[in-house]
Amino acid sequence: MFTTIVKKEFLDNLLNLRFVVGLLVTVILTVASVIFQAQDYSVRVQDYNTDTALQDQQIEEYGSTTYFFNESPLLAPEPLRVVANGLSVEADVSFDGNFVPKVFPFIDLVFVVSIILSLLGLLFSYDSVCGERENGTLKLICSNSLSRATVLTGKWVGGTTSLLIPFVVSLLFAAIYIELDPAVMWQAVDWSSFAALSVASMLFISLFYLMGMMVSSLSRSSSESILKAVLLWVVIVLVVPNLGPYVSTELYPIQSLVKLNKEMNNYIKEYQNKTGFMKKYNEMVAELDKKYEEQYGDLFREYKAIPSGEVLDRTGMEAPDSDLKEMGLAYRREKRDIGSKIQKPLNEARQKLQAQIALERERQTEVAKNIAAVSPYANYLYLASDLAGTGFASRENIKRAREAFGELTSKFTEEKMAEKDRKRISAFKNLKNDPLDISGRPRFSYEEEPLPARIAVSLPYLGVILLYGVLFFAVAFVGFIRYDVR
Amino acid sequence: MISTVMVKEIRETFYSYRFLVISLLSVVLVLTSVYVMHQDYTGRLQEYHHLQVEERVPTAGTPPEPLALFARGLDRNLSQIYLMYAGGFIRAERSQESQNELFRLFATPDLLYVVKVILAFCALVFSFNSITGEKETGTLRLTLSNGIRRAEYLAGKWIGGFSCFILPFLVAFLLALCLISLSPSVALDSSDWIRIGLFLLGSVIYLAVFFSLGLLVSCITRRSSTSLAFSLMLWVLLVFMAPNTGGILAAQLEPSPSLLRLNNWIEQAYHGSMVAVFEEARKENPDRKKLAQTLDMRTDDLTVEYTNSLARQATMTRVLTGWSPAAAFTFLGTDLAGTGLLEEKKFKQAVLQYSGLLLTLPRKSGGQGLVDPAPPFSYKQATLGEIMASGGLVNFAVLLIEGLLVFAASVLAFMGYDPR
Repeated sequence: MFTTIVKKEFLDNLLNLRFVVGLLVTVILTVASVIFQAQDYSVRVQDYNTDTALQDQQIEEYGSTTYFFNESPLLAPEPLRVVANGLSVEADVSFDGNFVPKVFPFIDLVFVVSIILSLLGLLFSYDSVCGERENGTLKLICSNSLSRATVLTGKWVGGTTSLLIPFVVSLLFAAIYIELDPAVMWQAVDWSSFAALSVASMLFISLFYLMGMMVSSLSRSSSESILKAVLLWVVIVLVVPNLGPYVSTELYPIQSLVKLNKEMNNYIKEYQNKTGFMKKYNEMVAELDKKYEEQYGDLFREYKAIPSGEVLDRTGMEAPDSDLKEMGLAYRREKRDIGSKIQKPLNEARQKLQAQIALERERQTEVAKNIAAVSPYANYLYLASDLAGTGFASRENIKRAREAFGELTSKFTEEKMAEKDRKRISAFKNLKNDPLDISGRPRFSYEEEPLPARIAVSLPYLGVILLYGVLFFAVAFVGFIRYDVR
Repeated sequence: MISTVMVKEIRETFYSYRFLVISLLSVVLVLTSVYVMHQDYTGRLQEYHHLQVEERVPTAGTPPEPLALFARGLDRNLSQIYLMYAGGFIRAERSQESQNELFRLFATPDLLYVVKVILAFCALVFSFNSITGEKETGTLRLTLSNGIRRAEYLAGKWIGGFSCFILPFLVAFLLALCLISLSPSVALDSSDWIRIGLFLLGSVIYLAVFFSLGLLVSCITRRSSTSLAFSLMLWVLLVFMAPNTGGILAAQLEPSPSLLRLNNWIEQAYHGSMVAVFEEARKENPDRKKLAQTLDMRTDDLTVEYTNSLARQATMTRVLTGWSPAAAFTFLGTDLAGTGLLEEKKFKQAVLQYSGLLLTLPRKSGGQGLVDPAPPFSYKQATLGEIMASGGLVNFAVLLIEGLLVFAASVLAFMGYDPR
């Protein structure tokens, strides 16, 4: 009997006009979005290759100690961006940035699932119970020796299957296009992520079928049911997630980051005044001078008399060996040590404040994320972007990789500075300075998370979606048990 | 007779469940949105003042736009403080929001979004069964058997239905305006009030287009469920699909080089001209003008081409998407609020001019590009006339014409409608 109901529901939906409309819209939108995104992706890849070459050339040409820190390493575009745009890596505040895409953000497969197929799910199911009552078929079905649970489950299985047809067909078209497009080179890991994303999407879509069924079993007429269902959808998909970040800043106000930064600068200034920072430094240098004068006498006085522009020419690393050079090197080393010693507590304080700022920021994002996570729609977005490697988890990883790279480069440049006996090296090849030798410079590489790690990150989100599914089914069940079929 | 139909429609709608729910939703949404955006605006204003104090280098910036309460658009990028370094390097000061990534994943819930996406949806839900529903309940035949012309009947239904739909929105909007005028942090002048008025007018016309669309779909379908399916798919196509594919198409037809490449060009030009600059600066009486010209990295062909390519892309986006009501309304709303592409272009030009001006002034030694005394950056927003002339009127016209066309089509379709 169960299979009869499943079959009936399935065929009922299949022969309905909304199925044809839904199928057409979904397939057209999916294929269009994949084609556009794939083209966008190939442009990004070209950009990435050109830009990396440019950056390399730039560093070779003008690499300097300051330049290394400024240049943030480039990231290759993620292959799954074709189906799930997620979060962008680039900081989006810059003077010269292109604002046009911000006006109308590009749509992707995740959009098709989360907006169109979820809406289609409601359209398929809003009259699954009350529509049958209106037609009078519900009494006929229930007059058979059938438990209501069987009827409801059968309806769900049959309806969801018919609803998934447009999605599966769209996926097939999308996969064929991706496979054929030479610009998009998906590896096994990408295909398996895509498969995982597809399964999660199916669960998400069936959740909305359940929601429609729940509303239907709580309504007497289909006009009432569609209104309730659609409004619920508006709240879940269009209202709650978008309010999340703003409500979180209300609920969890953190000190303005700008203010904190300002406070940090003030603190540094105050520290310098309070501790007589420069005075102390000058005193210590004076002591050092005295020590050297006692030790070396005329040699040191000769060194001091050298005009500042010529010091390195005469006593630098590349200068001819002499007593003066040896002393100069030792003197400058000790002077640098004084500098770093006196800077140390200040640097520590700065690092502490920076860590505090980072922590506050993370906490606020977390609160915002959790508020938005009340809605299954937000959970789906998190899940999809994490599976595609364009979500929060991967942003964190990239951040960490960049930090590690930053440390590597600063260590590298420090070594180079020590080698060159300089405080700062600028390496204009065409100027008088000797260029920095950067042949062994560290290179940035970022390995994307493997699939199991991605799945592990997105499991909690899937859990929330499933929980909503169970809840909707339970409410639908209770509503249906008490439903007056006449 | 038309008034009878109108009154009947109003009464019927007024007592319906649908009216109650949608009214509640629009009032709650409008008020929540304005409140949330008000808090956001106040926060950003404070932050702007914090940012402003720093004086390491000359800065250029405008405070957040109060009308961003209604349409935030690009205001986050416009209300940045830009630090002007030597050589035409312009860097943005990092602000609070750029750190919270969640803002990037979801759309901004400003009034523009509420009207453009949610209320347009509600308008369709309001009108999708205005004809099919009457047919299904059998009242359509009864009404039409009276001596009433079909066009009159449709007009009566439209006026009655739309006034019921728009009333809660207007009430909520007025309430929100009262709240805003009470807020101490939002200072609005008379021009701002005119802009708000025009924004409201635009919203009403935009919603009327969608209401008429629902009516049209209802006139060409036989059953309410079919009508609903068509209406919702139309909504998806018009609100999301048309503007977004237009945007992506524009980016592909008028591609622009990446930001990094621009920065590389500027840096390369900067490094390349350093020798010449040093030579000139070492002279006893350096030629300031020549120095400025050499130092201005933004006059060479590549950077000018970059700026032009962005402008072309923006124009292409307007051309490709402007026909769709959602895009026309977005352009209209953001331009009126002073947060749109028009304002962005004007502001950038002003900053670039300022950067050029700074280059011609004598420099303090030591500071990074610090000019003594630095002239303050001044910027005048686009006037209402400018907004209207450069697209505003066209957008209004697009919305109006589309509304009329859709209604005319409904009348045409309804002429041949079988009321049985």
